[in-house]
Amino acid sequence: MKTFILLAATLQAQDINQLVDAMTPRLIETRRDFHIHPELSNKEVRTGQVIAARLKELGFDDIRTDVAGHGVIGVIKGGKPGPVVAWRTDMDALPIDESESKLPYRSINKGVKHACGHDAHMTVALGVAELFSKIKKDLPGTVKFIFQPAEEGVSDAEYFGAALMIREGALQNPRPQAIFAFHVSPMVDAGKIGFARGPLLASADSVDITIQGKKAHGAWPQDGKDALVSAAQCINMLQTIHSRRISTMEPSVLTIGTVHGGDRSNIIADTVKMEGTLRTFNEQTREAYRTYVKQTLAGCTAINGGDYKVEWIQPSYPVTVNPADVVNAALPSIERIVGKAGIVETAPQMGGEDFSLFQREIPGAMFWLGIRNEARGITGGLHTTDFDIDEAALPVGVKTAAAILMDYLTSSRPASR
Amino acid sequence: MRAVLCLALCAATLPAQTLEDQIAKIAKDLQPRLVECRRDIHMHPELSNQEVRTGKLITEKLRALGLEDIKSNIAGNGVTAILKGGKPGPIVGWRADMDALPIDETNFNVPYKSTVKGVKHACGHDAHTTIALGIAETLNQVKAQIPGTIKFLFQPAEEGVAGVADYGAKLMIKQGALENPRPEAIFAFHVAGNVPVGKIAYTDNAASSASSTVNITFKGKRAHGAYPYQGIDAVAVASQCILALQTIHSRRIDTADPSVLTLGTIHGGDRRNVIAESIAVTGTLRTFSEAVTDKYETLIKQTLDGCTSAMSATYDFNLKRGNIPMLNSPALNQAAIPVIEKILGPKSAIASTPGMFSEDFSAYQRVIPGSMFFLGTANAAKGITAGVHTAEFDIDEDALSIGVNTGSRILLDYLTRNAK
Repeated sequence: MKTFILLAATLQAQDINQLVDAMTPRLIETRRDFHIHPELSNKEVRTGQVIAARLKELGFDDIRTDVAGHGVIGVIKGGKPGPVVAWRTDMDALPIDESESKLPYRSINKGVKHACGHDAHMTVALGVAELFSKIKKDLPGTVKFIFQPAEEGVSDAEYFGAALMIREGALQNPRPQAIFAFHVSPMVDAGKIGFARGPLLASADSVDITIQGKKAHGAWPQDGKDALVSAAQCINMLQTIHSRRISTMEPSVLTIGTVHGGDRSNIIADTVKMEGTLRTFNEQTREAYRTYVKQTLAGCTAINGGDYKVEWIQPSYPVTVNPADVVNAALPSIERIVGKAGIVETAPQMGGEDFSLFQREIPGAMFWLGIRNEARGITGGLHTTDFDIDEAALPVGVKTAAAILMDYLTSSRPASR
Repeated sequence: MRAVLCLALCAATLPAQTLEDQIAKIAKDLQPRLVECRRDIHMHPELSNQEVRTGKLITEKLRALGLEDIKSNIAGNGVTAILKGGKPGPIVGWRADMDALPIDETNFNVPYKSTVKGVKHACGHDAHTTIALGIAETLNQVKAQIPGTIKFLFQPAEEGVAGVADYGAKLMIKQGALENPRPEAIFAFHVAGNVPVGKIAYTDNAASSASSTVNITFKGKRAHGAYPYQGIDAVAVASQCILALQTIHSRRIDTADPSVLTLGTIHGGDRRNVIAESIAVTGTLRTFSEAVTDKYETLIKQTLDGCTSAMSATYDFNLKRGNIPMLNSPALNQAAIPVIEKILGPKSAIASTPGMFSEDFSAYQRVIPGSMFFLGTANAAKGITAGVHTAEFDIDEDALSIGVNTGSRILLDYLTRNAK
């Protein structure tokens, strides 16, 4: 019985390769269409429509649109019995301008660009969906494709993206046993796949800090409480959390990115506002920072009798952690597609991902889809104007994703069948 | 015929009153309207060089009084006007400022609360303007008996504006406010939140500080907020430098030389998760001498050199010298003391030490002799004790009529003494 399964898998792998290779021109076309028409977080109207239309065309069994805004969920039930597994992709673009780019497929939306590869993520997911619709009869289980909006986060809502999808039942009816996803990586060559056991991406928290003092004439500081000097003291003291209070074995970053305050040069500032971001690789460190930030601000503002307010706001993502057993189970599937040399182990990255929220519900892993091509000058980092992908990564992504999902379905089937 | 009638009426209503008594009575009777006028201006405060409504209000009131040679839109929204007395004599000036401050009064509970969110007359310019208009009205009623001419200067933008070379007093002078006619001397009041109502403080010679504007830009290097080591964090650099600058006063300047370096605003950064490339800080430097200002300029540079290079950052620093110290004329002060004490009683004129504030009245004093008196507006019993430039600043309005009476009498005294 076991021999038969492996034989079937091998046969399918050959079929799959041919099918995906034939799909490649359409993959490139799809990715460029998304890239030319990028949409910001929670504004993915066209993107959602394109996805829903494609899934309909592919004859999906169950399609839900407008989930968590413009999200789409498509379910395909294989001809053979088996478990349910999910593949997740994000949909939104970034407020980064690409109008100066010379690329033939540059964004036509001024100030908006797919600079985080979500165009490629969707393309790969649709590719896998198309492939599975072609081999539906042989598919041993159900695959749920989750197209998620607003991964980059919005500041005007408490729930959005993954959090809102989960609230709106994306992981129910049917409930997947596991979830997988890709993120493009400009540090991994096209044709290769990166992986990390344990933390893959950092927790990302947004913090707003207000230092409250008391206004006075600038020439009489003694009559006021100088919020500007107090803010400077607080910013300096916040640096010592990393250097003095957190184990150096725990990578973490607290960045104060903006600081604004004061009314005019000759008035003692009574309010200074700061915005910051916190990145950690484990929840204990994340909690420790929250405690220490509060303690630091309380002490520091007490020096001049001032006050403070600290608010941890959205977006806020937990650490993206790939369970070792889930990764280990997927590695042979990946190796079958990209070979031993095509698998790269990567260090945890300081970016944040709300895929982590799905991982809190069910086992899941995210892998790096290599898109770098130094020879062709494709080296731009995520979230930069120069970011691009080597499109040769698209069919590799489809094949690898299909292999991970198929193998998961096959190996997770109850033994009695 | 009309003149005869008026004289007859005047004689009937004001029997055997001295000019001083007449002024005192007019000022006293004016009090309800002074309060009304001050509250009107207080409720409609306008920022420096935006005093459109205030300028219009002043022009209309002066016109209604029938003052001569009313010039509007001087140095922006400033107004000057002439009151010619019926008798020959010299020319003297009286100056009031008009602008308000970017301080919010929303949470300050008075019935005459500012109607402009974020803007408040927190430096008493509403009272200054009201008193100057009151003096004009008072002296206008007795102008036949006045030996000389009074020139009123209503000046905008005393608090200063950024990015403009000339404004306020300097621009008024540039646009000829002290010419045609040229006053021999100039007086002004400034409300004093630390002097009780009914008293007036004066300072001989240096009365206010020199004021310079400080502009600093800290320059780092942008990077993703999660990778600070790839950039240079201008927020962290600015914070260290701001603290290092505090030690100039505590460690490097003779403590016998009073001085204040205040950084009032800080702005920078693009978004929370991007390492800030640039932080702009503005501030003010107050000293009582150019030498101390020079020293600060050198020490600020040295401090910024050190603390920015510590993190491989760079900076731009610019010190723009503004107001010079006020130099009140001891002679004008000495002459005014008996006038004040005759009205407000013995010891009501208080000798005061130089104040750590800046006043562009100093610019007029470099052209002609002048004195600014500090009109008491505090009243602890009524809870009116807050300092100027605070959200809680208020005045005891009894000071309005006192100001009108005393100001009128100081002017009259000057003209009388100097009439040839």
